[in-house]
Amino acid sequence: MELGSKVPKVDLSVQVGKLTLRTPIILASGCCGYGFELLRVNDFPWEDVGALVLKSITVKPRVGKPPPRVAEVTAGMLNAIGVQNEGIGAFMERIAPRLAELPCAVIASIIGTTKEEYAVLANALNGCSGIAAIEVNISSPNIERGGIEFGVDPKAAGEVTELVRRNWNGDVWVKLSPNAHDIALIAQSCSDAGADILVLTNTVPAMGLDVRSFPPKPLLGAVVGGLSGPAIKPIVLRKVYEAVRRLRQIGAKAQVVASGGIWRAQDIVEYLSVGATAVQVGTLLLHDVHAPRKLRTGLEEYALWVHKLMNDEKWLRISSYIGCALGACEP
Amino acid sequence: MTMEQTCYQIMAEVIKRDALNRFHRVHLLAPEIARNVQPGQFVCIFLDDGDSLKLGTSLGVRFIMPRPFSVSDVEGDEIEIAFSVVGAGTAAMAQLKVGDSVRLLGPLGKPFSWCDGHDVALLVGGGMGYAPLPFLSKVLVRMGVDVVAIVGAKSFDELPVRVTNRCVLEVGDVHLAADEFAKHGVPSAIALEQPHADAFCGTAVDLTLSWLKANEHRKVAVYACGPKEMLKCLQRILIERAIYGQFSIEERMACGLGLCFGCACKVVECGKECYKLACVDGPVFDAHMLAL
Repeated sequence: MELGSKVPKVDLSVQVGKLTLRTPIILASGCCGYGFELLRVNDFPWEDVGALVLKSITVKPRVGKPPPRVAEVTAGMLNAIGVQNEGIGAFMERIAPRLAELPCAVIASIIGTTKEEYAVLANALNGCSGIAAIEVNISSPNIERGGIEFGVDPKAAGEVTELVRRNWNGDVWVKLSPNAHDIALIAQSCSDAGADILVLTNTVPAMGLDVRSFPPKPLLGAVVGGLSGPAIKPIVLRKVYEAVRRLRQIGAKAQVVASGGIWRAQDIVEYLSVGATAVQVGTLLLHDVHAPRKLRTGLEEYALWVHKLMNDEKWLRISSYIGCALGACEP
Repeated sequence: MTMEQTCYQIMAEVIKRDALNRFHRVHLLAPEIARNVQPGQFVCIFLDDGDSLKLGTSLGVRFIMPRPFSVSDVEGDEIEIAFSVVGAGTAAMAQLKVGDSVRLLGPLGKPFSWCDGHDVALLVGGGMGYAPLPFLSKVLVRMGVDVVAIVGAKSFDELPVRVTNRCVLEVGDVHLAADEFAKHGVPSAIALEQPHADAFCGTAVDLTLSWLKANEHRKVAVYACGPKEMLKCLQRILIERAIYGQFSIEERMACGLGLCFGCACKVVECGKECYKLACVDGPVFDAHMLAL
């Protein structure tokens, strides 16, 4: 850099549905509690967080799965938390009134064991002013009924989406499962039913055993759970690519938010390049509570490099990267 | 109160190292944590370096989850962590050298607390579980509390503490104490399951029971940490004798902050079983409420 020359400023903002986010970095549901837990972290980089998604809420309280609920595996983490929460009643009474204290946009996540429960939850949340959107969880692998059942069936996914659409006034985000046979079809079905945003994806159904004892013992108390972390990124990248292509082919206005194994800024670049509008970060936040700052810095460095390479101001805007590799990805 | 305590993520330099068999001690320079940590609280150690997120650098994904450790002592701006090698993470930690840095998050969790109205604090550590107790003994002594300690292990070679013949607790025919307690002026006794001339022959729980029987006139508060089986036996004794106690428990953790609900442990509250989180509701729990 020459003396006196200034480093250009990178614009990280993105428009996700009706929300303008200051960065494309969203904290994923189940990995940021109810947000308040982060307020005690010294120097937490709120300015680098676009939004956060609360832990999933159910109609009735759920005690959750037996321990151990988490386990480390190669390049990833297994979990079977089982949606431990106190139910919508306790949420509305104790958590909802405090959400305005959080220094970023808040999205609520809901999960039902029946389709009707999704409607009940969506309707109840209309009374909560601190919530900018609802994320419909039809992809948790850790709930006995509901959850992923709806996420692998295009018809059921559409029906749940439509029920939430009818009962909730704001944007509807739907979180999909990587287990769907044809994720593009599920995405299309949810989009047709009125979803504004599709979040790809939840954890990959998985398990692990501890061979230090014999016979080997399951790593998780619930035996089976979901895999997250860097191990799943290439899988989810393909899912995002497939969903984006379909949505663009049919001219749907629904956007895609990518969620899966982001560990450094270049992972975000990959997701944006195949058409994701923003990303969610989960396991990485557990691993490093300062991660949003490191990711933002990495994104800025990348944008400055591209700006210099292409000699075009537009590459200083992160939103320009959305879908920029789709041409190169044409078979 | 603990929920609102500020926690810090810092890079901490290794100041001092020592090892005894598979038992290790690391002194870390962590002023923000050393100044605020209370006995029973813990830190999370993250073994990937702080640069792993940078563009173009190699991706450190070997250790996704943190390793939680109780703080076993505080000296000025340094905290002491004691651990034994049990898996890949602790094996990597055993390789730490003076001058290396690790990423630390802390202080975390609910600390031990002293309950007025008791005459004496009995600290019981099973194996490596002794770790949070020396720091507790130091703080209790400073408060003017009468403190005694018991450390148990399978055999002499499995003892995670340094033995001494200073400051030996008068119980049975024991001539060995733990230096970790002696240095704070706290009498202690060693229990070994494999017979040893100078130690109590039996488990830490057996020795606890002997000491309790010899001190029936005193109002005791028990503080313990160790294997689940040990805590189970100890809990039965506390219930039978209506003795107050606090246990520090261990669970696998993914964040240390209550973000993920991963470190659940079962408790009985108002006659109903439910899960609490070891990282924010614990790791110290009322000994009577744990469903062990």
